Amino acid sequence: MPTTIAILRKDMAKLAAELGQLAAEPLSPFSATDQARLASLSGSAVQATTHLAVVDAGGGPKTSTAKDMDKCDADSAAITGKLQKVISQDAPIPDSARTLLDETSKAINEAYAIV
Amino acid sequence: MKNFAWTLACAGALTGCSGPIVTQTTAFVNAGSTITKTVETAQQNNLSQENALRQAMLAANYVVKERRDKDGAIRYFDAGDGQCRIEGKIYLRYVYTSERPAETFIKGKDTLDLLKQGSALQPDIASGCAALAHCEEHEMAEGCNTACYGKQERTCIDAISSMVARNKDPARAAALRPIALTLSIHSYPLQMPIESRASLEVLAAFTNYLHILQAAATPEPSALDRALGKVGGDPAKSLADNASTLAKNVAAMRTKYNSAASKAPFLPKIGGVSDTNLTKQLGAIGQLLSILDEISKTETSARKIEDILAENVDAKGNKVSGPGTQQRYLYIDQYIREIGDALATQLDQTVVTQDLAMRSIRHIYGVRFEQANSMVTRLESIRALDDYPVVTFQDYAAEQDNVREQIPKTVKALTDAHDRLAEMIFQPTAEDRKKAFLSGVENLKDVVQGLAGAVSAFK
Repeated sequence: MPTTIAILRKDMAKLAAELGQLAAEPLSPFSATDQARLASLSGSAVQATTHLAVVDAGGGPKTSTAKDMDKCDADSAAITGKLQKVISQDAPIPDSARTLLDETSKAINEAYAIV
Repeated sequence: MKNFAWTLACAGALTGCSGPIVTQTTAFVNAGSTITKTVETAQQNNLSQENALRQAMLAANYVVKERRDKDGAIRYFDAGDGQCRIEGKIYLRYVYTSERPAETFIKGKDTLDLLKQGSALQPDIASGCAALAHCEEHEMAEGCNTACYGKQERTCIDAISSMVARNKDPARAAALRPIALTLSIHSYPLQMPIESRASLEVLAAFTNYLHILQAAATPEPSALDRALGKVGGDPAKSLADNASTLAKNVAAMRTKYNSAASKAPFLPKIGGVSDTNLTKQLGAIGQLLSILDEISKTETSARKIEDILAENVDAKGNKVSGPGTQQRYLYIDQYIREIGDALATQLDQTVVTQDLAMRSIRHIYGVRFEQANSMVTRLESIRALDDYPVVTFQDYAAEQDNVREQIPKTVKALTDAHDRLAEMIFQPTAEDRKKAFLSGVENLKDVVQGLAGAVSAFK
């Protein structure tokens, strides 16, 4: 199934909820500074969802390719999987916290780059 | 007489043989209506949280600052004079996050061409739009890192707003749609949750489908209904109910007739005459027989429902013919899944927005607490926090339970019910499927109402 804007919107909304959940976790493995960044990133993920709604309203992407969409979908799914493991405490933070947050930011930016 | 006996038997059995289609349709319509109301509730909750966040942004009058450390730059909100002026229309530059402003008005869009319409812009609008474009390119420049748009930029945004509001041309509306959405994203107060706009079309198509199914499942006054009215039928009742009433009336009339016939030996007994003779001799019973015969041959509601499901439509549910169309029932499962996806997205966004709003509002009271010179002010600040509880990990877990468990379960229950409705109509011999549906009706109701309760409780 090709990646659609609707799928990416769902990816980003899900990512936003997971980031928020980690930011609200009282016994988080993240530092206080990183938790503040998690909250900010969850806002960015909501904003990326909104951005995709605007792109959709304009009739879909004008310059982005199917490859861009697939990459965004794959990267956000990978990050969601990593965050889910931290949430469910199945595993410690898979990379360093900062690396994980940067990867998250990159996945969100990919959604924002779809125009 | 053979026909008469057959007619009565079939009329009595109508509830069992053609009733399930109407029962199934009604159950599906009721469950579908509950899910559309659930979406409306979720939208309303989303809107409340979005506007709470915007109020907090306005109250804080943030500016965005940048902090650099060894790993790079991080942007953050800082309280200050963010140029938020509340006279006139209010537009927020930042909505969810300090990392980047929300959607652009000019950059990457054909807004200026749309504004010009073949003539030059008025000087104040042109300079306003230039200021807006400058800030979209240089987010951290002075005057561009504010929570609200500056006075000059607002001149351009007001012009865009007038252009969108004044437009009456449906062809141009499509071109204006992205900028109209950008405008609403930045506006305070937000009038409609952003996510719902994307799902409105599918929700409208689904709701329309429910309405026409509902109309088809409700008997309308027709020649038959009027005839039923004359002999004791009720047009508001289902045909099956009417048939049952009529069967009783016929039985009662036959008893009366035979009772009269026993006292008047010249009248034939019903058991011993042909239908033709009976119709000729006894007009009233003859009329009943013909009505029952008609009912037994056709179940008008079921036929109408079949017509609706089989009609060729486009993806929005409009009745059309030609390429790119398919039978209406084939779209419905897709609609239901899309509504489920939109609902999931909306719940995710609501809980995040609520979290951000509560954090922002609590931060404002935190600043007030720190700056207070009196115990009274500090006490007021602490008490005010009670109205803005933090969104907890458990709140997120509950929301995720809705998104990952209840919504998929509800979507499956609805699509299964609809699939069975289609199967019953297009494969009417599948008796086992009819039975399977009837046992699933109660389950469907419970599942859909469960989700509706959970969503309305989650604000």
